[in-house]
Amino acid sequence: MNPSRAFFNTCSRGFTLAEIVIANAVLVVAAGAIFSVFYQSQHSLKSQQDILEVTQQARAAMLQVSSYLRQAGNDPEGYLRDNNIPPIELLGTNYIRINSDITGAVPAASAEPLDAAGNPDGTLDNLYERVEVRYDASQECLHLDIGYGEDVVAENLSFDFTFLDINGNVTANEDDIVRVHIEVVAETEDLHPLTEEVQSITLQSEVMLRSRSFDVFAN
Amino acid sequence: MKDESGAALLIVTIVSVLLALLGMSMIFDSMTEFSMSNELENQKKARVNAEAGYSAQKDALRVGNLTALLQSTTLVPRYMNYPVPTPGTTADDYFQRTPIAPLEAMNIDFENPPTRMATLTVNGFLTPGDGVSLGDGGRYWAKISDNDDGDGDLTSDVDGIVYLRALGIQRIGAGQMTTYGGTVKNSVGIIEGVLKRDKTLELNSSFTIYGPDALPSSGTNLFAGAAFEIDGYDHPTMTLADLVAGDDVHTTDADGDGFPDDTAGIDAIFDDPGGADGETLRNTINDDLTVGQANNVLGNQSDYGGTPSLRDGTDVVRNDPNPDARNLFDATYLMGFISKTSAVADLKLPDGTNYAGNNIGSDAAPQITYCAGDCRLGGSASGAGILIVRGRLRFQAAFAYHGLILVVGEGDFDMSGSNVGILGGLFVARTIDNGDGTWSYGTPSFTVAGNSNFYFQATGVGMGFGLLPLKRLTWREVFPALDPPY
Repeated sequence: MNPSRAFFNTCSRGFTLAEIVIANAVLVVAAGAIFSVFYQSQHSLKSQQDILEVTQQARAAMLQVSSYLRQAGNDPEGYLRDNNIPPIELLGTNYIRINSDITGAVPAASAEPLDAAGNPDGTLDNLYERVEVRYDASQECLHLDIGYGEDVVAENLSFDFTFLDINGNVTANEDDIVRVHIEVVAETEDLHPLTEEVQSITLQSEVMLRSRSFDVFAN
Repeated sequence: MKDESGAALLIVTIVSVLLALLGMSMIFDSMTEFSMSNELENQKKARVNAEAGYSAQKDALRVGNLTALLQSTTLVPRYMNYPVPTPGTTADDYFQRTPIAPLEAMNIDFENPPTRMATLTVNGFLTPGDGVSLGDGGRYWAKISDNDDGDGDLTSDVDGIVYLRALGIQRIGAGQMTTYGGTVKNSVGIIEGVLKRDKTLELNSSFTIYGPDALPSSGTNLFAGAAFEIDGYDHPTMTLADLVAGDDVHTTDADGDGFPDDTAGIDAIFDDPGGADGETLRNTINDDLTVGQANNVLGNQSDYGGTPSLRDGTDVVRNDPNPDARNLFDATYLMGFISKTSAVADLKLPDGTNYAGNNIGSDAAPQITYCAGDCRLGGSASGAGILIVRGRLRFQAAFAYHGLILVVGEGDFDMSGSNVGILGGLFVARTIDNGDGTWSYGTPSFTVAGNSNFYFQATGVGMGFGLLPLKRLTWREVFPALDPPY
């Protein structure tokens, strides 16, 4: 008999039930393992995306709030001084208003209305001059109002201000605030697939109010 | 069995593709995150670079004449064709404040710049035209520009107020990625401050004395002998060396307006609205001068027709176009100013110091010298800058000083043993602590004798108070919305 023919004859006899069961079992185990790896990887990816997203939100919030705080109390025309307006008004828990005369309203070169531009003009009427920052603990989101109305700038975070005087002591007196310590803790919405815990990132910053910085010839 | 091998290959391929997709997705996310982190970091660095430039140049402005700086020109390379506002418009005023165009700041690799399109001549630059490199891709530029001080000339300072803008950039580093689609850019930060030079002590005479009256510091007279000279003409070209050599080169019209300058040998000042003002003090000084002595008090202005060049200078201060001049009437302001100055003094001397034989600054390196009480200067030594003495100042032997001398506090000045003198200006006032944080003026003491020479020099006085840091009126971070569009 031709050897190859003999081979096919041997093969054509089919698989035994045991062979099929074993093969299926191996396939199921292999597919399960692959699916498990894929599932874990997907969760890991989602988890990483979550933490990236909250980190960027926290950074952006920190950057924005720090920028306004640095300029708090800018008062070249003496408007805040004459009206006894502090650089930072404490309106509630983690709810502040940042006052600074940093711009004015000069005629626009274009036909578009100009909201704010030019030199400080001795008022707080322009955009960016009365900036309200409010942390809503119940919603875990940060609201910012630069003059257009309140906007949510970051979610799923806790935001905490600590106000410091010139000696670095905590103060609640608006007139004594020289520095502001900011702590942002941003948390992911979903749990980590392995640890099954909420992931969080903490950012801290301390901002010196330039209008109150140590400068013996300032104002 | 061949089919079984094919199934394995298929499974492996599918798994590989899935894992590759997963990996690529993670890499893409990581790259995006990395880029965003880089940009946030570079943005912070750019602002910090701008702040560093602002602080450095604010400090450098201490010794600068603001008008001279506004008139100085720097060649600044222009690399890009960008739109500019119409000259003379409001938008142009703001555009001119920024050292270089923001479009260039964002785009040009200043470490390896392209061929320049043109070279601009820019006023008021405080840095080289291509900026100051801070290393690691950081760089800043700074310039001052004049405010609208009413003279219609943006290269001449009248009120001591200027804008200082510093622009900082941070070039994205090697190996860093951007979210700009691969185009390398710079992050940009701009800081603007409005700075003011306090011109309270812009004196108008070689010897300014403030008070209701005056007493001798030593002996029984304010003046002794006739070898001294109090010269209230301006001496714009004289140097410390000229003073020591005894050269006297003065002009009667330093401002070139065709009229004698409004300066005198001695200004007697006392703010007493509705009262005698400085007349009592002036009369006391005049009564003490003999005819021979009076002829040695020279200057453009006099209440006595010629010599002595002595006047009640109260109204001159009161009507001075310099808005800071009237601060001189406020002893509390003056002492606050002195107190601040002491905080930045280059040399502090304790009460009772005999500093004879020591130099206190030079024309090349003027300094702030503060003496907390009595002080004696003398020997063959010299000094330049601003000298503040809170007690009694004794000026003896061949000591020469160029700049501004303030004798406040005890207000006691004894120049009886001096044979060189002062080029610049001298201010003497007795101030009394009221105990409640305020001060008032009392009766000062002085004696002028020997071969003392007082030569007035407006630039010397300016050099003296120009050593003090500028006062910051405003500080802000400039972003596009804060400048008018063009």
